[in-house]
Amino acid sequence: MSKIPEEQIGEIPLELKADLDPELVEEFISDAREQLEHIEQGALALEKNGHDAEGINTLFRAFHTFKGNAGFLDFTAVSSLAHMLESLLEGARENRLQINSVIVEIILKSRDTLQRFVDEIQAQITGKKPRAVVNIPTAALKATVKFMIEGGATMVANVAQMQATSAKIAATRPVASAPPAEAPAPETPAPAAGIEPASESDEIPEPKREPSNYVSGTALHAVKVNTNKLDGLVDLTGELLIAQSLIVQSVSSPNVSRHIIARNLDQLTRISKELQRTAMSMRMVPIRATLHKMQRLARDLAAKQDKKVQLVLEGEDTEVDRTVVEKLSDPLAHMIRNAVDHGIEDPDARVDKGKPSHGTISIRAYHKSGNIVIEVGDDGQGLHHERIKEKAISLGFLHPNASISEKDLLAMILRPGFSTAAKVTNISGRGVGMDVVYKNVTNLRGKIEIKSTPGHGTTFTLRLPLTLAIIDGLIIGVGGQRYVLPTHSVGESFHPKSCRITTLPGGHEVVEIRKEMLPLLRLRDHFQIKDLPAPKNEGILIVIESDGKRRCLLADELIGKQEIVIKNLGEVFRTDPMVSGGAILGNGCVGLILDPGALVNLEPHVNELQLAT
Amino acid sequence: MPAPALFLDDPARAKAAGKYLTFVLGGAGFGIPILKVREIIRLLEITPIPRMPDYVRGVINLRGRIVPVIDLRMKLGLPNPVTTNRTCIIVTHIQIGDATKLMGLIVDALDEVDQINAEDIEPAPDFGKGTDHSHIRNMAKAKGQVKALLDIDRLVQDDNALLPPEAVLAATA
Repeated sequence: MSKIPEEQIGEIPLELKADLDPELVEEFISDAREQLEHIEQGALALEKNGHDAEGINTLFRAFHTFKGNAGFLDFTAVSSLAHMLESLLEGARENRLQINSVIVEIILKSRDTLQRFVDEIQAQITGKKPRAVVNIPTAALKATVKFMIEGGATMVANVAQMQATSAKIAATRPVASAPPAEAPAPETPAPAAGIEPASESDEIPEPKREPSNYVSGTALHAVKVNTNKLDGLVDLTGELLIAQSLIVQSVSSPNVSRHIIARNLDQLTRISKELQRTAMSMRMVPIRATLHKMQRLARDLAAKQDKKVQLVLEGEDTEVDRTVVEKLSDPLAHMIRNAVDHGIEDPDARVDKGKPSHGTISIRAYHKSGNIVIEVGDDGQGLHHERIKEKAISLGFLHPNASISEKDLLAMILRPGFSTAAKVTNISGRGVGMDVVYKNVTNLRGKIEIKSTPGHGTTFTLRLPLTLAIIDGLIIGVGGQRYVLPTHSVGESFHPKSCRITTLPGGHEVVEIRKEMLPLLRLRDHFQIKDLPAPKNEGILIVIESDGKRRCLLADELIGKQEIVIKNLGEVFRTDPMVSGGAILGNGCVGLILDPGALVNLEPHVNELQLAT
Repeated sequence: MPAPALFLDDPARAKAAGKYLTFVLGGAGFGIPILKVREIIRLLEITPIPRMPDYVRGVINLRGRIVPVIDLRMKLGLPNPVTTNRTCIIVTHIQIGDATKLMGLIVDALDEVDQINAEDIEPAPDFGKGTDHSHIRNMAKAKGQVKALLDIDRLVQDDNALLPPEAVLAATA
């Protein structure tokens, strides 16, 4: 076993030196996050099977790499802790130590501490936080690890007692990070007193368990791309050049038939499509990492509530746009919380109902008709339809006598402030949660469906677009220009003659559609188009919907539908909020994308206001 | 705004010296440092943005990238800009706060790329009170003509139609 230098046992502050190369640090951070991921997965796997030699090796390697990288940058505080863990696993590798749940807990705690260091280093190196000395207590943790290494033989003998310790450690998780306790590192722990570290474990500071913990780490802009995809892109570029030179040749030589030119152009079309597909696929990442984070979450939550939960993952290789993946963590975390807290019953209650004492939560991810579908299901008690109905009525969401479909009733739980949890725990039950899920998913232009059978469980189905960069757009013409409306917000469109437009006192106009009165917005007037002649026809009315509000727009004409790639407008102009971006249309010109959210919220007379110039 | 210097010391001249792209606006000669220029393109179709001031002409598609365009003639208050076949767009790198952005400037016609030597550079004259000419950094004599050397970063600074630096940086991040 490698010797641990005594001076590395105490608290070591971490300081980012002024001459540190930021690029090296960024590299360290991105690599460290990967290692931390491996450590977490490895530790959770070891918890299930402590004898898995390959698992121990993986963990050992991860800590070793971490230590090496940190040592290279002189992050002694980090490398010394990683070093201790490495020694601990070395003991396990040589069968001097047996992996048990206490050790797994220590590994996970160390991992979390290392992550806090990484987060802090990242915040300082990117300038989000001022440079300062990082003081994250590690001494208590290191002392515990040291004790375990040295008292290894005893530990194996005392596995039964260790289980008790484990329970104690699990039970004493301070909510916020504990004050840096003076580490009472036992100088020479008596081998017989194998359980002594339990008192110490209480002082092992717990990193803050905020939800953001599960979504952080995506801010880096460097991207890892599968080599196959990159090679494919390079190959395609080569083909593109060949196809292009073929066309140049065939056009410049006098007696080449149109037939050959057409064939070469076909080839070019094929290559450009393939090129687009490959380029888009580089934005896609497997959903694996996000799902794996949930494993840890489910484990920790279940332990806190003395419930038994196993998380089953399916379709971890399903690929999603990275922007979508980043925003999935939060809603998934909330759904897992909900499932553990409200869905899965206590083990005894489950057995009484004839279910296995282990609750099962499953996350399935798969592609279906251009969407990614994520199903989060549990085999818990299901939603109480009656309780939801009562609650909805008491909150005024529902009229007592109204009849409501099951689907709509269950969708009530997605509203802000709605929670049927009998008790408020520190995990969930405060009525935030499901509305966060709803908001996140709506922001991703996705939909949620809830299915629930009382007594048998609940399944949430999320349907999300594969990418945020492409939307289905409805192209409309206003004053000789083309604008794009996101198709998902367009309800219907019809001829102005087919309905009645009424001018209210005050000049506001409303359109009556099937007994519903919708405010009218004449886009021509709103865009302040004056110098063009009025269109020959009366235009077309388009109903848009956003945030539950509806409004009728009057455009000159409908031009068509197109899949468009959303681009920013150069990030220079202070554009009107109703313009959310631009897109290159089929004719090569820029079309402005209108934001339905801003349009439905427009004050009717906002167009009278002068733009501040 | 600091009062324009009446004469330039040698280091200031030396700093201002270099290659300039010169062009014509309303018959007068102007120049911008060549390093600020990304490329020059013909006047292509510009998509106007509703509810923006007149000199903001809109956005163009520069090979898949959307680039905002302003009419430099209107921005500088030159009367009745006329579009001819010599009218073109100079795509420039402008500095807004800490961010560098692309912006197209419409000019009447291009002139040439001139080497402007230190001894040919004079401070911009004082145009009198009430006129803000801080965007004219220097004057230069080149081939018997006087050209105004523009500071395009200054020109777009404090422009109400443009985002403030913080917002640009936030949008870029």
